[in-house]
Amino acid sequence: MTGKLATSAALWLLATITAVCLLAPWLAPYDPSAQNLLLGAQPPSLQHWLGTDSFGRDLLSRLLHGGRLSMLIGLCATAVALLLGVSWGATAGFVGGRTDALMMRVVDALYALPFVMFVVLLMVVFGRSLALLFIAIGAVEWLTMARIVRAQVRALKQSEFVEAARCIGLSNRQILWRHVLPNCSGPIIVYTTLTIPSVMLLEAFLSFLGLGVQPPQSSWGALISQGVETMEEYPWLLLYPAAALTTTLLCLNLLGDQLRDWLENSSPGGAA
Amino acid sequence: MNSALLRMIAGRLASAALLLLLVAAVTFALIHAAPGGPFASDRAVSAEVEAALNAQYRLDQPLPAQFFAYLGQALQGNFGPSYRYPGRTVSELIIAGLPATLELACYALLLALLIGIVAGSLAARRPGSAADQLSMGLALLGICLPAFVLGPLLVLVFGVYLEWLPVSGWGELAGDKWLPTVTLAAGYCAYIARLTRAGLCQQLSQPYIITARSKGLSELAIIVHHALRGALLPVVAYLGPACAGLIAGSFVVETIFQIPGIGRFYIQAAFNRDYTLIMALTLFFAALIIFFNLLADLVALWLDPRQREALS
Amino acid sequence: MSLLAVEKLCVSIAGQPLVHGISMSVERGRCTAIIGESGSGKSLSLSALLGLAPGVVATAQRACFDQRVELLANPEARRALLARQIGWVSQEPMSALNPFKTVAAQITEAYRGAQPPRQRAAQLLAEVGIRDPQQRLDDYPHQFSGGMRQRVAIAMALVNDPALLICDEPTTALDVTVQAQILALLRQLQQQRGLGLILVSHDLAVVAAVADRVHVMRNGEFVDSGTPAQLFGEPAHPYTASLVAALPQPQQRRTAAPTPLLCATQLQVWRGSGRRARAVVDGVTLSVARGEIVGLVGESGSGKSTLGRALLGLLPVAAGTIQFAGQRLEANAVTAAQRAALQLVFQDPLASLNPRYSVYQTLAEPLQLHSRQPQPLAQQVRRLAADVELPERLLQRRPSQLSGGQRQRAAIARALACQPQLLVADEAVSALDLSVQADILRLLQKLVREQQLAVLFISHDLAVVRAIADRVAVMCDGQLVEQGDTATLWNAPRHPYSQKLLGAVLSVPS
Repeated sequence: MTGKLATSAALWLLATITAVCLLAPWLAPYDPSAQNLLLGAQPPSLQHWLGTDSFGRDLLSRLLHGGRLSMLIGLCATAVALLLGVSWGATAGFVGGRTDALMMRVVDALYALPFVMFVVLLMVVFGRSLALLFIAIGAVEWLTMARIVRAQVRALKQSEFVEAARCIGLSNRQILWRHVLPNCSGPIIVYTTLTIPSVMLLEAFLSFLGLGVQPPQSSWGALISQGVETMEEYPWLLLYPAAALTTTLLCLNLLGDQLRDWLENSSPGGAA
Repeated sequence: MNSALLRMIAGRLASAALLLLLVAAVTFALIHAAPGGPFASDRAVSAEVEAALNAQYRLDQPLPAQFFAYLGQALQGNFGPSYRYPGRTVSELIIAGLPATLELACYALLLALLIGIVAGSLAARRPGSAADQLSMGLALLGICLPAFVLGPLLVLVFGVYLEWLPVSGWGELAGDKWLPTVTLAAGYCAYIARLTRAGLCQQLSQPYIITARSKGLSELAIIVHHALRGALLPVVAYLGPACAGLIAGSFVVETIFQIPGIGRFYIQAAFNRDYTLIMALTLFFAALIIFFNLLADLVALWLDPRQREALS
Repeated sequence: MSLLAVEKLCVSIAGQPLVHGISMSVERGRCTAIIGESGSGKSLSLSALLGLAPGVVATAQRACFDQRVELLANPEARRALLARQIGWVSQEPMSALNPFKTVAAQITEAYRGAQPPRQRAAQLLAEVGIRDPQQRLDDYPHQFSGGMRQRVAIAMALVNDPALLICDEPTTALDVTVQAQILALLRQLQQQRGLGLILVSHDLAVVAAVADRVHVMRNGEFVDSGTPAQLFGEPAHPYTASLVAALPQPQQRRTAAPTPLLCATQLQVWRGSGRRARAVVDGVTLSVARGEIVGLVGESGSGKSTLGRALLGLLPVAAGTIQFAGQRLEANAVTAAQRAALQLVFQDPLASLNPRYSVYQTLAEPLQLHSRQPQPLAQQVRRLAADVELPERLLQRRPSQLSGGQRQRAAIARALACQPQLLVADEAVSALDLSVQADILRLLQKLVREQQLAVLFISHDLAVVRAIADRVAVMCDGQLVEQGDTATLWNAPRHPYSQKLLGAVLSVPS
């Protein structure tokens, strides 16, 4: 029962956070980059609910706009990972044989690369554009998706209902689209749900190191990074962005876990 | 059996060499695709001096020549001089930074394994119990609290407010290793606890556990002697690739706690475009990842007789 | 003096009562059996009694071992008994042994005696009939075959010389010849050691062969009890009678069409690749005609399923030819007409149906592909369902919402939707309960009669094949060692392997 309660709480919380962040341009009380040097850093007050930073910028507004960017990056990079991972994994698993061996060797090789270092390098070398950020993060995260999808597809390909489909004379394309892929949608959805938080984490990590989102734009990772610099004097500048990021990640992970438990328990033989 | 094992290791080492070559090539290409060289931004350097510096570091030669010259020297253990720390070779810098990084990683891994496996086992003993919910809740929190959030928070609480522990350095003040270790270990600990729990729950539902119970063994004996070995296989599989994350973690943790390790060097080198240092560190980390992946596979072989069978 | 006396045992899971007050007893040197269909609660009762399944609540008026120890009142005493006095053998030889430990370590793990453990393990392995026991002590379970693993499991249960051995479907997953060996071993141990034996099984013939006293279980209750001869000879209770009636009975023979529909000559099929490749089917010549059922029997790993799939053009053939309806059939060039005419029915109906498709979708898919009938699709689907006696209200259900028999009907209907001429039924009734099995067999026979189908009926269950097949082919290690008319082959098998196979078949006394 507690699990169910936590899940619905997580769902509502996530929906709320997503909604207010996406609507940031209309909801934010102040311009996120409007400085007020006279005001300086203020603790939370009625005028500035979450306080202001040392330039006098309203933290709530910055948090909403930053969250918007964090989420957009999370969604876009996950989409890149999803597209790449599913098509790669499904092709390898369904075709099988040498093609499969070759394609999965590529994945194995990429797994063994210090990808985070490449991403760091990429961001340093090519300047810090947002599009590059999506691609770089998506390129790291698709590998696991490809492995999961490939394992699913291979297992399903050997299942009796796929053999039955072949026996009634369906073409390979029909078998893949009608019988194989729909039956791995469960794990794909679950893993996608879990990829979004890990993408957001990677973005925050890069932004924390100063390699991700650049001023004047801001993301939660960048806000945390700024908050750390002055945390002894103005702790709220660290605490609120950290709380926003952690809460969102918590909700996403919780939902992903619940989704997985639910799928594993509810489909006998479905995704096996 | 042994010859099959040797064959496997030889094969893996061969592919490791190829991979390292690939890493070197990609890193080299990335670096040289960058607009502006390492000395381009220094306003103090005149055109003639820049040319002289470029010649000294062989930046005036064609790229393939540079690459192969670099490889040739790297194979002899000479990774060249640092661009940004004049007078010091890259090897010296790495050797200077390595002990702190390795020590930090080892402490963190040990702590994570110890707490993760114990917590995961306690949780799996009674799924749904308070112990299970508490430890899995903490684990979830651990996954969602990245090092760059947890580290500053720990500093704030234990260093600034409570003043119990020093907030920076490594091996300089008593107790200064605690916060970085805990910060780096937390995420791993959380994953290991979750994997251990999932693995144990899966193993405990196997028919052979019922057989063990029918021998009159206690539940503790069943977990320790029967279920844990199979349950640790996913943990081992996770630990291999996880060292890639350990490196990423060390970037952050060393930056936050100002630990003079090679993780912090890497970030600085990347910002400074210290080409030779970047190359050497990337290769070093890649070799480390490959090594740990191989090690994880060997441990899995040791744990699982079926995998040993499949090998030969 | 009873070794184990149980009175009014009740078992529930999560508050739901599943076993309602059963009583039984077993004496030294005797065997008590519980028989019932899947879900009747027979395995559950015993594992609850022994505390093997967590989350199960068991209560009883009395559950007394050796007139001294109350099993349910005292879990610690029960555990001590399990360690010394009670042995337990499970139904899954494949998964009942820990894959990570050597057999010697597993056998002697709970050993309390004075012998050196390895010597004890070797002695027990020898006793249960494993050759070269000294050499096999450090082998892992996966290095043993199914029958050998079951022997190891029995050795493990015997390590402390228990007084009572409880066997839960000990031979269900095994081939008939191995089953005969394991049952002989159990009988021998029972006589030599004066062991009390409790046997749980769904197989009337197994129970009849071993038990002194039988309880018939249904929906958590014993509906009938007695000696095997009483129960199966003159069943008094209607449920027992229905079980006996559902036993496969030889049917009237059909007359097949004079010319064969499918004809395979000197067929060879390879499986695996590289160094592991081997001929799984080797030099098989076989024919099937319209209107006849040809049985294909053999033990697991004999190549039956591979042969069946090769005959359908689903696997490439390394050597030999297949003629189907006068045309050559080749796996990489199957025409659409041939594909539709050659259909397969699988062992596990749940695995053979797409879990996301409703029955309607499952049946509509092949119809859309092959049907040239003018009627609307929905009407054709309904007619198919009627052909396999599947109620129309089930059409919108998914496989997980159907019973085993209903699923197999849906799978058969899907095959029929292609209007096949040849049906290969690969262990099509092996996973079903006896009564459901009888229904599906009846259905298959009706279809052969009405639609003049040719059927290749692959099964390891000789009693079923005997009942349904007009002709039988016996397969061993990829070769057909003997084929002929069912009655002739049964009465006078010529090949030594056929003799061994048929000699191992147990029958229920009537």
